[in-house]
Amino acid sequence: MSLEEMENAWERQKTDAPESTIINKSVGKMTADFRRNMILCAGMTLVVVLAFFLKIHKIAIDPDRTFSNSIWELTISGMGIACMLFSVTYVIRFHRELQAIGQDTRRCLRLLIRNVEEEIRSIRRDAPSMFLIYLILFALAKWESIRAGLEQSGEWAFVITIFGMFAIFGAVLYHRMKVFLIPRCTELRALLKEFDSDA
Amino acid sequence: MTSTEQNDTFNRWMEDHAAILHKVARSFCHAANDQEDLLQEIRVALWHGIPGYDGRSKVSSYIYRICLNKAISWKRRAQSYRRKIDKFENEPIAPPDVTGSTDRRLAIVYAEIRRLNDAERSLILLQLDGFNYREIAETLGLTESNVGVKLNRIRKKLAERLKGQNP
Repeated sequence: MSLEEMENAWERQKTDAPESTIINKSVGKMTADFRRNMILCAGMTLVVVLAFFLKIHKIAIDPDRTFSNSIWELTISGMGIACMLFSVTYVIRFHRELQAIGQDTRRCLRLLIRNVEEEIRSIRRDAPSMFLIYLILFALAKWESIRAGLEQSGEWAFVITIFGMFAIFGAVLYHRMKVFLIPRCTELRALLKEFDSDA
Repeated sequence: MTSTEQNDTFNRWMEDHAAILHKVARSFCHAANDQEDLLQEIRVALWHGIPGYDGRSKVSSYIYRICLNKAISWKRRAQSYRRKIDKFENEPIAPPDVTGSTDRRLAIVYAEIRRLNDAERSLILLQLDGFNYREIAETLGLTESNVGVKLNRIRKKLAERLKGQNP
């Protein structure tokens, strides 16, 4: 088979099949659902942030508050804030990826690489430091309770459970980075290099 | 742009340029399920990309840009999941159910295009669909001379590989 035959076969391929309107409608519906979910996410973020600040306000005006019981009370809403921050970061990255799609391929590749590199950096640096801060706060709270005689020194089960949960979550993130993100980044860089060669 | 205008543009683009989507999907994936998945992702990306079209380039060139970018990023994601499976899969040059010399010839062409890397595949697809060097360079972000050099190399490679193929 020659190149001319290849070009003939390409030109003669049937290309007159129009897209089904049902499919097109489903795309419209999908994107409308996406918008609805975004609004829902924004609403939830607002609620979580409000709840967190209300808690802080409640703690601030209560004179009997100690560091340890404030930490326990802030745990749930604090974790909600952390989850929301993660979600917002993902939404921003997704939005950036959508914008990158309309750029020329080399620029799109650079933006995709930047996205993946940012995610890798946040798993390597931001997540561990956040976990560490949480753990230090929990340990300090526990230590204060023990010193004040409110808890026994042997009751570390809760702190150990929290540490275990963090360790599992960290392992999941580490696995994602090793198995999906680093290979993806390497492949995208290789492709960009391929485009850049002879440039 | 209102949502209705966006929908109308999307439907018009799909009516006029659906073939581009199918060609790209078939060039990047072998399995029919994968092609359908990629098509769906491209359609969504295209819908989102409508407000970004500034009218400076041809619609077909903008659609190609979105299709290729989506296919490249989609493939990367899918590859990670399928890497282990792929080791055991040997893609046939032409599927056995293809009948007729033209269809078989086309199957060979697509199989050979799929054997190229993503950069080469993008270049040859655009050239096969009649885009000139300047348009290809704009779509991929390359220089015209670079496009020329690369395309010559790709055509040589394809000619070499197609030599042994008899439809």
